[in-house]
Amino acid sequence: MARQGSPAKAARRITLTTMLSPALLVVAAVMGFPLAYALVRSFERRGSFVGLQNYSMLLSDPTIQTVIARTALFVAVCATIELLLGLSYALLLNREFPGRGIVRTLYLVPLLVPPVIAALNWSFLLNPQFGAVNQLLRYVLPPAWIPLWLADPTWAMVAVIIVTVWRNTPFVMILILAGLQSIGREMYEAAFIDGASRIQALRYVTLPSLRKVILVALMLRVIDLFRVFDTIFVMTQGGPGGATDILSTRIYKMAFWEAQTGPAAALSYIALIITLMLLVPLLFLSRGRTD
Amino acid sequence: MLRSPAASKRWAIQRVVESILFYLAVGIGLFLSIFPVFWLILTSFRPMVDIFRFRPQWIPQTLNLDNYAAVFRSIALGDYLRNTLVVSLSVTIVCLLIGSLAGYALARFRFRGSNLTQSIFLVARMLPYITALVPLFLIVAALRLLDTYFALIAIHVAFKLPITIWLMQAYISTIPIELEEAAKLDGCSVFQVLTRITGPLIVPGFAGAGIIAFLFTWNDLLIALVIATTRRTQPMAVGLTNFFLEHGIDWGPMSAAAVIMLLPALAFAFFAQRYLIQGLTAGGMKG
Repeated sequence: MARQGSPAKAARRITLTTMLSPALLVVAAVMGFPLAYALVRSFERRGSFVGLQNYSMLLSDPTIQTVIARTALFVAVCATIELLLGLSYALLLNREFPGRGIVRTLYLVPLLVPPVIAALNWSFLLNPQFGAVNQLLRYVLPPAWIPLWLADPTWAMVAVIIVTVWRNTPFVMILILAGLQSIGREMYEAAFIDGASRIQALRYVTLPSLRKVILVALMLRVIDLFRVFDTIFVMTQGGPGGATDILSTRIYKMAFWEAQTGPAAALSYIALIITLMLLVPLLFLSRGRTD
Repeated sequence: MLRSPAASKRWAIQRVVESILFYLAVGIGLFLSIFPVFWLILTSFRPMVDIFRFRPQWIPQTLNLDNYAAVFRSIALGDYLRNTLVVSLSVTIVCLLIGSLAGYALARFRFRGSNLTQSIFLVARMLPYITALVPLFLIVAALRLLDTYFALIAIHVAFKLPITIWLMQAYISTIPIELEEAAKLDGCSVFQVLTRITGPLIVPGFAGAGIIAFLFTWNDLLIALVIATTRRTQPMAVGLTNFFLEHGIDWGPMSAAAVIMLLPALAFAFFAQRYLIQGLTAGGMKG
């Protein structure tokens, strides 16, 4: 911007303030203030100050340790499958074929389904007796191998992962498709002239060019997976026997079912710190190299 | 390139096999993507006896609207739909108003504290919702604002504002600043520039950000579960979840209710697919 006189500067300041203050005020009032309040509450139990006791109690509680480990596992497994599947979908649909437009739209459908509906619907689909999934599986698997899904601790976790992956893969797909479209045709032509096979072109041209998009997709998915709530709450409420409890559902139940606001506030701060720790390296990676 | 007849035949076979595999893969992906939704819609038109069969009836013999009639009798669907619409539309409008102003300021001005401001919005965007919701519940309860549209809208706006600002900032950055400078030279004030030049140009950006704010609010369960305690303000998502947790086995009416919540979102998103994709990718790309 060109140097301006001081009246112009004052006008600029007024404009800036008018434009930014509503947003900053809302964020300060509805996020900043509650977070500060939660920090205070996290040092309290039943109204009296207990210092870091809530934190130490939570971190030494084996149930909470399991919940944190399970959350990490859930985020890691979902993010990995979503990325691999999203990448495969994007590579498939990046090829020209008749009807590609409509097929791309149909691949997006899961993303348009509200998470609550996805969870309800998959609870029906995965019903051990009458659900379509087991009805299909019965054609190919012996009866002893048919999972009980939500009634079985291990399969319940698999089920919530399936639903989360199902709903969010299209998001990764459209990010990667956008990334694929920005790779110049001449890059491939050069590779093929040099005698590269298609696999080599994928390995040495496509994937390196997608590096940034993949990192961004990973980052956005990790942020979002960390706060998944609807799917698990509707499908299992963390059950059976706590087998699908992750941080968000655990905090919700502590705060709103067990009325333990102090410990719940402390646990939500632990969740916040974990999110930030995960994201700093990812932000760093996705910023690096391109600047 | 010259090939021997045998080699070119082998090449042709390879191409056929390859395209069969390709279409097979596309078909599997398509099945996985749409079968669950297709099955939900089909179930909503089926009588109870056909839904609960151990040996499935893949091709339906009877379809009717009984489930839809039942759901209107057993759930206060009208209330839930009204609440969902009121909250989603208000959130979209407020987010676009506040968010586009902030997005514009961040895209166009370099100022002291601009990095700090951006970081604040970035952290706000990453926040696990539940971290803010536990204290928000206590504050909203203390202010006696539980179960009000105001509290729901304010919280939704704060949670969706960071992404709206991000999207608007990304979109505005793509519009050449020269257009605005030319208008300024012709004597337009900053707000005239905004309403006459930039405004019309960023309509697609508005559409993308607006759809995302609308759909995220329409889809939300968590905020409503905490703040909307009665039917006065509860949205579809809460109504359905409660109904499901109480009478989980009533699949027919449940499916009908789910379809009623699903269809507007689906239709809306199809209708504005271009803007939705643009919004989602812009939000990702500018990371």
